[in-house]
Amino acid sequence: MHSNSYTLRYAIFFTAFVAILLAVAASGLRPRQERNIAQAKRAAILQSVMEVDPVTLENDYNSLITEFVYSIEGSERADAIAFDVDLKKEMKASDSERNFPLYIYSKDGQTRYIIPLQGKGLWGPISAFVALDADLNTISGVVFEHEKETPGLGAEINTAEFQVQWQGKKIFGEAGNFISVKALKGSGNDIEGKPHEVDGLTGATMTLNGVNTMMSDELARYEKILTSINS
Amino acid sequence: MDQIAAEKEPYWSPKNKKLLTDPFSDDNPITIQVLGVCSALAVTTQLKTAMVMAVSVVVVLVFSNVIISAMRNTIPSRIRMIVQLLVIAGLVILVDQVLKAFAYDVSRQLSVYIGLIITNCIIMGRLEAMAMSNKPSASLLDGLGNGWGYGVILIVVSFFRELFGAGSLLGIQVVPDALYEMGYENNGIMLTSAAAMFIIGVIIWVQRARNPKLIDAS
Repeated sequence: MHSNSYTLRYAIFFTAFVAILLAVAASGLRPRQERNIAQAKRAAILQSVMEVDPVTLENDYNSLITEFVYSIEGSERADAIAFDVDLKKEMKASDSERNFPLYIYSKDGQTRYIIPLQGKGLWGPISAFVALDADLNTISGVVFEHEKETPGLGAEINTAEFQVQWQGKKIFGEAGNFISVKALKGSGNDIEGKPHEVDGLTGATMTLNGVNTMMSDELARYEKILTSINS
Repeated sequence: MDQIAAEKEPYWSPKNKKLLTDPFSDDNPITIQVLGVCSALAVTTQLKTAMVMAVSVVVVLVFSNVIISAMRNTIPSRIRMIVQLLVIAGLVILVDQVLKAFAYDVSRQLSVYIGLIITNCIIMGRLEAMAMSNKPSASLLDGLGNGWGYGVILIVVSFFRELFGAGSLLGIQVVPDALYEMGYENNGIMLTSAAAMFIIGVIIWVQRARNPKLIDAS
């Protein structure tokens, strides 16, 4: 049987030892981790408009993408850096204070407008990059990302099969009113000739509710920005 | 065997020796000891995540077994569970940090499950039953054996779940398109946790049918 003072000293020293070890490891690895996070974000942005080659990712991004930040009224904010805007924090701010990043892709006369969105899934945050054609209405590609959605169910929003359906859908109605695009409940829905709907995923209703809220509420905030670019 | 060993008998069976080298032994952590079932349900929708989870658990189990075993004579018995938990949690956080730095894609897929390793009963179970009362060399083998025994079940379960639930293996489609055109459909229930329970149940059934002495053993 060990004495009380031994037990106490043991607990204190061992806890301190583990704490120091983890602190050293975490701060030592941080630069690499942050680089990985930034690379993943660049990859997701590019993925909404093209095939991503991990080797040339950084060059492609720098040469093809121009970053902008807008206010909700559509005026450009030159002092903010779009890539560094943390959408999770921005969503807590009031609309007038919020920064709205926009990435413009241009290659061989082709222009795509990439809008980053943030929302809530069933278990954790979800995000999207929505690429619009030069008409600022037709979706040319989307990338959905999630942190903790159920594998095989909600996590399927990240698959090519689900994302490819959004291509060619329109976010504005014929009268120019904002409608957005929503995923229907369940799979196997008939979406032929419907410009504002895509087929859903069985067993992922809660995650898709989050996707739909993000695609309507958050995307709607870009309406004036898109109008100002268009004019 | 030292004094501490005499105080703490292994929880389940005295057959630990056999378990060191034989992952398919009569003492598989999932099917016989029925430990770690929660994570076996959660991470087995796809073969790839099951494999990474298996490797992560083997690494954490081996290291925590060896570390606790090396420290076993210094650990005050009244706070031994907390010390064990500290070692496990420290190792898991370390694995998570290293994955984030060197295998970011894998770490993103595993973010949900990494935390599950800490609470995985296999690890604490092996620390209490094995590492607290045995030499580091034996504990290392025990960690390898149990980690592998756990991993094998995970891989078998995820093989069937991915094959029948998504028609693919390791993300590559294996069920031919022609079959789908003939009316074959992926089985949605395979993607839910309930299917893992069925498959584990079938594995236990097969294992016991082939090995009659297990019927009385537990």
